Amino acid sequence: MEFFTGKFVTIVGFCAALAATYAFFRAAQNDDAKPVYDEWLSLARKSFFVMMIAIVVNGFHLLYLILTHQFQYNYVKHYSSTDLNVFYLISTFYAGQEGSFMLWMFYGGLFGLFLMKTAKEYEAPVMTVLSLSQAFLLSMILGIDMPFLKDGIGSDVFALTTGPVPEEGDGLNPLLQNPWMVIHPPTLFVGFASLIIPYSYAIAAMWKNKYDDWIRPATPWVLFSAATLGIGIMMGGYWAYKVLGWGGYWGWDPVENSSLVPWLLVVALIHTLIVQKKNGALKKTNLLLATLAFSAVLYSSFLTRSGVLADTSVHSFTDLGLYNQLLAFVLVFLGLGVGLLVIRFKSIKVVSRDESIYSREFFLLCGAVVLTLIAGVVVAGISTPIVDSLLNRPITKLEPDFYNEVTLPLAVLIGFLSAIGQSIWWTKIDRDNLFKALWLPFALALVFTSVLMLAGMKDVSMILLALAASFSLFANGQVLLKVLKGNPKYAGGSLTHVGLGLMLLGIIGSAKYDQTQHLELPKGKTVQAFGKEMTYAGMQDVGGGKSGFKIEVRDGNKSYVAMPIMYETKRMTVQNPDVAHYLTKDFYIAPVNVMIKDNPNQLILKKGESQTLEGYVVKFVNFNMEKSVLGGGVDGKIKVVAILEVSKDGKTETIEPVYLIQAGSAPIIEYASLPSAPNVSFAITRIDATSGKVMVEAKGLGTNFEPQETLIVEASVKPFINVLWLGTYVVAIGFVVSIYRRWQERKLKARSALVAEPIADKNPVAL
Amino acid sequence: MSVKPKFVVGFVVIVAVLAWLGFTAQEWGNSAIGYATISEAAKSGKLAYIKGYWLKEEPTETNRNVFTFYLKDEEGNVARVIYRNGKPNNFEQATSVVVQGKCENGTIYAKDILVKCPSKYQSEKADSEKKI
Repeated sequence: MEFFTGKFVTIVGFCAALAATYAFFRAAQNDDAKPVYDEWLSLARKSFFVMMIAIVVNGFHLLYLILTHQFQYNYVKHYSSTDLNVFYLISTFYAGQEGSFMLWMFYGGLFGLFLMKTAKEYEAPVMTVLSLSQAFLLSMILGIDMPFLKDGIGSDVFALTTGPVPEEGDGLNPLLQNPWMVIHPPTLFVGFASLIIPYSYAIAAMWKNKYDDWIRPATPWVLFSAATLGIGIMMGGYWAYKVLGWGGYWGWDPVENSSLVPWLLVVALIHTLIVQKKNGALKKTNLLLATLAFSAVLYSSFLTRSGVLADTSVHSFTDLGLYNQLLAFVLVFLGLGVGLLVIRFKSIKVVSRDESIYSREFFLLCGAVVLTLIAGVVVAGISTPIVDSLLNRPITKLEPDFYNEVTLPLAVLIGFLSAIGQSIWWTKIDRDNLFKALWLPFALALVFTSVLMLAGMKDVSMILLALAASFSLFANGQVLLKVLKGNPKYAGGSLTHVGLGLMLLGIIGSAKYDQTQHLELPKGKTVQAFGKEMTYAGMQDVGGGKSGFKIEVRDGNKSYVAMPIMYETKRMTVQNPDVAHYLTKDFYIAPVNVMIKDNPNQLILKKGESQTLEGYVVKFVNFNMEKSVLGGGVDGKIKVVAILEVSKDGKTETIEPVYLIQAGSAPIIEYASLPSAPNVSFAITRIDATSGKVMVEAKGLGTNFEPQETLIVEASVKPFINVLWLGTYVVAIGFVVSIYRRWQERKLKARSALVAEPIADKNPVAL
Repeated sequence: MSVKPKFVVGFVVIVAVLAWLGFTAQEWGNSAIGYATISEAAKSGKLAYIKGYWLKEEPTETNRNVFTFYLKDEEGNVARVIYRNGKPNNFEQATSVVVQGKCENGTIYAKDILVKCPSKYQSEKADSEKKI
């Protein structure tokens, strides 16, 4: 029965995807013979629909199993539990590898349906490639044993657990139980999945030997991928900052890096596409970048899902035995794109034009080169474990600082390039006009940077970056104002670059001028740090078994209560920081630990051992087995009576303190006083059954003791981090505006290389 | 013969890219930190990642911000670890730890401690090290 509801549907979907691939392929090969074309196309569409139905049925099936807590299914058992609310239960759908593949193929299917409606003459070739990728994705969850393959094909999402049905699942990772984490993976996966579209268009172009038209319908998708991937990445950063208490938003971790690479490549592709649209150059570059961007997505899946990073990233990845399959996915798609490009290399006409260096295209190309260089170095960085193991040498890992150092000069370049390039508006410009256009933003940037230097900025590289970033911000701001006066539809590009300038400035502030201190906050005592007075007031239950740590923060006349949170779960301690937002900075408190000071008046004794405490020699003789009740008590209590001999000044007394254990509550500790000095008493406060040791605590000795609780926090000031977040919003809005415009333009036929864009006629902001 | 500005610019770009690649290669050499056992790390004296387990039988102390414990590596060698940033989160729950540090005279001076939790989750970042 299980076979027909789960695995069978997957197999049907997989076969339908293969059928669709073949039928779209035949249609594309026969696009000059109308009846044959139509026949194959209609078969292909039907197959694709069958595949989509299988994916949707599987999706609802898994969702149903999760919502009804069917823990006999491995996947449900591993990732969900009964105590999760519906919101988080739904997010367990993509908590594991198989589920996230299902999400990916669902998006792929949606894009496919959309393309079948809109792609027109590109439908058959584009859908051939997309259907092939769907078949690969479906194969990942097949779970079929093969005679010659050790691991079989795929990992069945509907596999059953072995042994008795578990009553409770393992639950969702507590760190993921956060609204940001519910939307971060689905958004990122939209970006990943959508990169198949520009890739498919590039393949279609090479297949059909037509290199001019594909870029128009592909451009809105390229922008769409860049936008969704970028938003997904930033959500991850925001989550790390606001929820995880990492104190930062970007750590150059292999996993983060592997999602950054496709983004950098697709952004580079945006720039080179604009060049081709303008003058017909860079055709091969565009085909290559579209191939590389999607291959980077596949390579990143390979790295994060095959277990090869297990040693160098602390992220835990379960190896599902998909290594070979994932590798094949990367190699087939990379090979297809690069192979076709090599075959077609000679037949792609090279447009050679004597470009002035004062042309927009020159700067677009430089920008794309810089972005590709960054992508290249990051790819090299994340590949080190593979390269090391291939070369059979000890595995190394790069320090995060490496990336900061190496990308810094490129970030400075990006600032300058985007400032100048954006100011050259579509047409060639000569040197004088360029200076006229740029003097004001550059002067403003100089003033701005001087202010920062007066405020204490000394690091030369940071000064340069600040100059470049503010130059970009002001230059693009100037362009933006002009465009808004003309036609706001064209504001996308300058908006995005204004956002970029803001982001770079925010990164300088928050990353370089971040001040962090480890603070110890003894309860009730005021500690000074960052010009603030902080007083830890104690623990407070904030519901859900979580403890909040109440800290009164006084800053001049103003004060507020910070409440970082820490709680234990089955597997880990979770820390949520407290972030106070000011206009120019964030004050960030991440809890680290609570220390309870040990009582000085305590001893740990073995049987027969004696130690001295404030002049009293305490000897643990034995347990009094006659008085003790060890199990079998009527009320389930366990009573342990110990015999202690206490000597002082040659006088020895015997006392018998009692330790009572009750099921489900804290042990009851009874102190026994010395007959000669009733104010001095001793108790057994802990018993270690395995070693036979006991902990003895004394009261009424000379030194008085009050339990002291100390909260350790990592407090930091993050200047101008708001500017970074603001920049991300502006970038996102810029992308939306651009997508809208390019979507409207997708139907316009590619113009001959010499005709300028319409904006140059209507909107002469060439200054 | 006058040289076209285009070629001058092209030359400058290529030189800049090559210079940057050289800089990158040099930084790479400085920043690549290898995984090593205690004996290898002791021999080289260089910063290394040392993977191992917390040896619970030996004393573990948290004295203000200084945290010390004993680490047993995969070869079975034991070394004392001194870490100056307090006890890492989830230390007790860890199945294994990776200490980044230098080994001098049988003591590892840790710069960072990464804690591996016994989690089966594959979620990205989730079980990751704290901080950048």
